[in-house]
Amino acid sequence: MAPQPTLRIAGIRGVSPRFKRLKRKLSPETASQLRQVLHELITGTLTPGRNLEKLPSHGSLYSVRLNKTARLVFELEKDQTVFLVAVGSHDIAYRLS
Amino acid sequence: MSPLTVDKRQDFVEQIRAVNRRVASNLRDKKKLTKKDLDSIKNLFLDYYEIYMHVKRSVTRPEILDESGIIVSTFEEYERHFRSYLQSNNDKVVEWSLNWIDLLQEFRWLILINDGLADKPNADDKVSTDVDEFMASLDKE
Repeated sequence: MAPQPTLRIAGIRGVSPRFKRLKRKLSPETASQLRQVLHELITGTLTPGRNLEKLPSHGSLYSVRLNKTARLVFELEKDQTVFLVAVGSHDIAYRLS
Repeated sequence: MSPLTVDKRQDFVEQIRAVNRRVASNLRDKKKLTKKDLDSIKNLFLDYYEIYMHVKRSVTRPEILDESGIIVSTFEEYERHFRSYLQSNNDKVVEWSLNWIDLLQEFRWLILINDGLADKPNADDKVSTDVDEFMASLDKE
């Protein structure tokens, strides 16, 4: 997965019902980081440390790091808005990478 | 990973069989799996995912997908294989556990992503640009 240049989104178009359930399971710290990452995406200030990556097998899906143990996956729509697909723990892959 | 193309609805069972044969080829008679083996098997799981996504998209109403039960039983057999490999390699249990957890985690995310996309609601014209308001709306529901 090649690093992507900084992305600036036009807004959040929606979330899946599953995403809402996943969001409720987040720790307050991770939920706070989710808020921060969404803010960075909207303002185009996402830092390289967030490891924004385009998922290789899906043309419009991106993964971004919330903290050391969690990541957010979203779908970038043609109008530069995003659909939030999934959020949760992903510690091992980052630890091994 | 070589892209797996599932062109026809009726082909997906054969596609799964083809991937199963490749998994069997990777597992056969091996006392230990190397990292390369695991990477190869992980890619095969991704092939399963491609098929799974195709089925999720194309099957809009419940119907029997594995009439003979062979696909399900083969999947269960592979799960037993992996557990057996893990348990029979005590000297490398940490490395094996990490690789295995890595595999499980990737697979879990494939399912998470799939399910997240599968229940995507119809397009909503409302676009949120206020993150605080958006987060608050999630908390309320």
